Amino acid sequence: MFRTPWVCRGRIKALARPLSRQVLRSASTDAPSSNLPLVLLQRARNIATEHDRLSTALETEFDTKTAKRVGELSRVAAALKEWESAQSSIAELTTLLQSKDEELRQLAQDELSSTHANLDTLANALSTSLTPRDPFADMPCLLEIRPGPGGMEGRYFADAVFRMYRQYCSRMGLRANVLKYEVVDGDEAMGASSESPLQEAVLEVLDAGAYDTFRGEAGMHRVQRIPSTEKSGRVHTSAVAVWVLPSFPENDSDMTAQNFNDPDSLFYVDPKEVKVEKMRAGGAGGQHVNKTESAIRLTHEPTGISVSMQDSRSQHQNRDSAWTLLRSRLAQKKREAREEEAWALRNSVLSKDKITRGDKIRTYNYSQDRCTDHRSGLDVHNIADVLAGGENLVKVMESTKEWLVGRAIEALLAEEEAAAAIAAKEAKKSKR
Amino acid sequence: MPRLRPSFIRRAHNISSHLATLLPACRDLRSAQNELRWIREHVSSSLAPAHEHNVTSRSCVTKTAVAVIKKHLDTEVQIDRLCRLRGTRGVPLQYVLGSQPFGDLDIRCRPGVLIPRPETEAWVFHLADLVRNVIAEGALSRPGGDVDDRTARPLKIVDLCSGSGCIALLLSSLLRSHLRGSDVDIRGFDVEPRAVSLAKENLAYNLRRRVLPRPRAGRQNVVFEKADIFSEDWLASLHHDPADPNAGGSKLGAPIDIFVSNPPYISMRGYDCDTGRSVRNYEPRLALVPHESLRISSFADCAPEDVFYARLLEVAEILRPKFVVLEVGDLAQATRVLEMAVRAPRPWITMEVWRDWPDMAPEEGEDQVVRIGGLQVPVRGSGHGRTVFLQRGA
Ligand SMILES: C[S@@+](CC[C@H](N)C(=O)[O-])C[C@H]1O[C@@H](n2cnc3c(N)ncnc32)[C@H](O)[C@@H]1O
Repeated sequence: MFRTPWVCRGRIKALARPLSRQVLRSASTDAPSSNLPLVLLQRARNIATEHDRLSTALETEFDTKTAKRVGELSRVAAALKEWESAQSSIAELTTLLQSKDEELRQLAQDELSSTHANLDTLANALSTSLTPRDPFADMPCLLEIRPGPGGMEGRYFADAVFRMYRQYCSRMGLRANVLKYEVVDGDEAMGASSESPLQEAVLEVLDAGAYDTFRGEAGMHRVQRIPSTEKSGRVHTSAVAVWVLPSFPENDSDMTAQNFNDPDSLFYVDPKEVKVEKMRAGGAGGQHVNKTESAIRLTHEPTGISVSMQDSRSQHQNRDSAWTLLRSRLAQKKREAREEEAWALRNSVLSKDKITRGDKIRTYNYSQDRCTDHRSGLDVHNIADVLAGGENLVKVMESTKEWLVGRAIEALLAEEEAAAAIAAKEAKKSKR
Repeated sequence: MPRLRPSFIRRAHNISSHLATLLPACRDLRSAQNELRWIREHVSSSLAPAHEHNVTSRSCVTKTAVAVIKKHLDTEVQIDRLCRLRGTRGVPLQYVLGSQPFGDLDIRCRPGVLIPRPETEAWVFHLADLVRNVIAEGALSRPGGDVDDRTARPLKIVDLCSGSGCIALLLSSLLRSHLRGSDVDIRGFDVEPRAVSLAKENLAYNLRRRVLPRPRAGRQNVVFEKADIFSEDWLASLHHDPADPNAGGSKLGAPIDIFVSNPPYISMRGYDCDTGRSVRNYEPRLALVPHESLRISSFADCAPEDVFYARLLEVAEILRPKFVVLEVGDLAQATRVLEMAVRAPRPWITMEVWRDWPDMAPEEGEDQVVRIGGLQVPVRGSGHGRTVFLQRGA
């Protein structure tokens, strides 16, 4: 059906498969809990027990810390409850199958198949609830778009990708700001599709949760097409890099300021480590001249990461945008370092699938009018609609997100299994 | 000024004829590109609503199509017109677009009134930070702080030579978060009637944009008035007792908290040699160069470009502010102003010079202190000497 790019263990295949593509199973062929790995069920039960114990404790004595923990656990507890109630209705219905009443049997049979079908969904939801939530999931984000190495064609396609996301945002009613839009040779569009040769663009999506919406878009986007400048009609292959960074718009909420000033936060940047430079026009300044531009450059000296901003007429706005961008880039770097550590610990085949900026994640093939996501394996047609941020892009992005969830579940399983193996070893040792 | 190389113009022309039009005013391609983008944004945002109007609810497809085409043509014609104004005639972009961002404000700009400068914006931010810290430390005890304290008096600010009103309005915007609402009382004065009415317009406009605090019921807390700061009547009006209902005019009531001014400070020679062409051709000389007659009348012993400071320091003696910030042309002028300030009858406890970017680290070769008589006065930040800062004890 479609390619799964990671090594698959048979029993979790069903979990990783996108929901929309699941085939309804017939009640008779499947054992009730076959698609929920036992380790995960065990983990869910442990969490639910803790959840219940803490909520009882809360009733007698309120404590903010406990309340917070209960909140975190409740997602799993609720999902488990739903799954268990489906299980028990299956058991009930199964006994009804023995009934002498023909009509009742038929009814039970029908009911059973739909409950089974539903069970898959519930099992999937339960597994998903167990995966750690991305710490940035609720945040707004920055999309940075840059051409890959190579000629002009990549620059033109970078513009197409930029527009794709911008139109997607307006279709989905997301508030998006262009923080930066830099073209190479001029302001003017060229070619039939009126793409401009993009150097770099940064789109800020302000809605909470935008990071979660776009995180699967990070990576290399490959294009195969005949450039409008190409006389001989040869198909070119080029690439565009998309970075997705969580963002904290400066003047948003109290939480923001807290995060900026908390040295443990990923977003903390010590202002003393940042060199601020302004574009210096020669001459006397002040009342003597009426400049229109106010470029600013920030350099984080320990890492050498530097951003410059001059797109706005407002120096205030340029400064804010530059800080937002710098914070996000540094946060991303810190986060990658943390992730690296976590993945190294897991020593798993899965780490091969980690999205790195070098991997191509998607191909836009014009001559076949097809867009392929290499992780979910989903293929859609109608490139024009994809690039207009339409229905087909929505489908592709959804498949990516499902893939990400599947991957998180795999990681969780690997972790549980590793823990179980260690526990078994320990047990053996102590017996000896 | 260097002439533009023909090859350069050709390159710009290949990209866009608009860019080539803008180039003489912008000097380099990158800023021409930026300005073209701003002009485009301006035109498309100002045309959009007008045309939606033209398309009636019954509009059939062709009617809409006509409107779309018409709009496109209008847009191009407009862009072309503005590019010519800017590039060929050399009109400042701020007059072409009618505005300049200043902090989070949008300040309307019109001929006859000086365009707000980024250096001014920088020191206003620096001053607002300083005042906020002082308030946080409790040194400016009475104003602000506790919302429920009805007796708290507002922070009093006076801005002389207020022009577009940018300084007064930005201070009001920046200080509002710490003072909770309209606990600032700001008075701006300018001799130019066009400036006074533009400042009032800017107040109303930014109130509508909701970047300024709403005034408390029935009371406007930022007021702009026409006044010649050299006139004796005006000076006399400052002495009035604010409690006296018959006092009329400007009931300022010393002592005030903050006294700011960005007066005309360019010498006649400096005007001819150091100013930009679009400044000379389009911005008001009245806002830039002190009028010759002023010195002869009252301040014969100081340089002609310094007369406003002599007057401002006199006014400061009457208003008795805690903080004074005066914008100046360069470090030499700052030094001369400080020399006048040390002769004040009542001493200032702090004196500083702030450079263009007061928060930036100084570059190599930028002095961090100037000597005034026997005193060492700190010079903060990086860039040209830009303001003189004075502070008096509580
Ligand atoms: C350099 S502009 C400053 C405008 C504004 N505060 C700013 O920073 O953009 C100086 C202003 O002083 C005003 N001015 C000139 N002579 C004056 C006088 N004798 N009394 C009051 N204002 C005067 C001018 O009209 C002009 O608006």
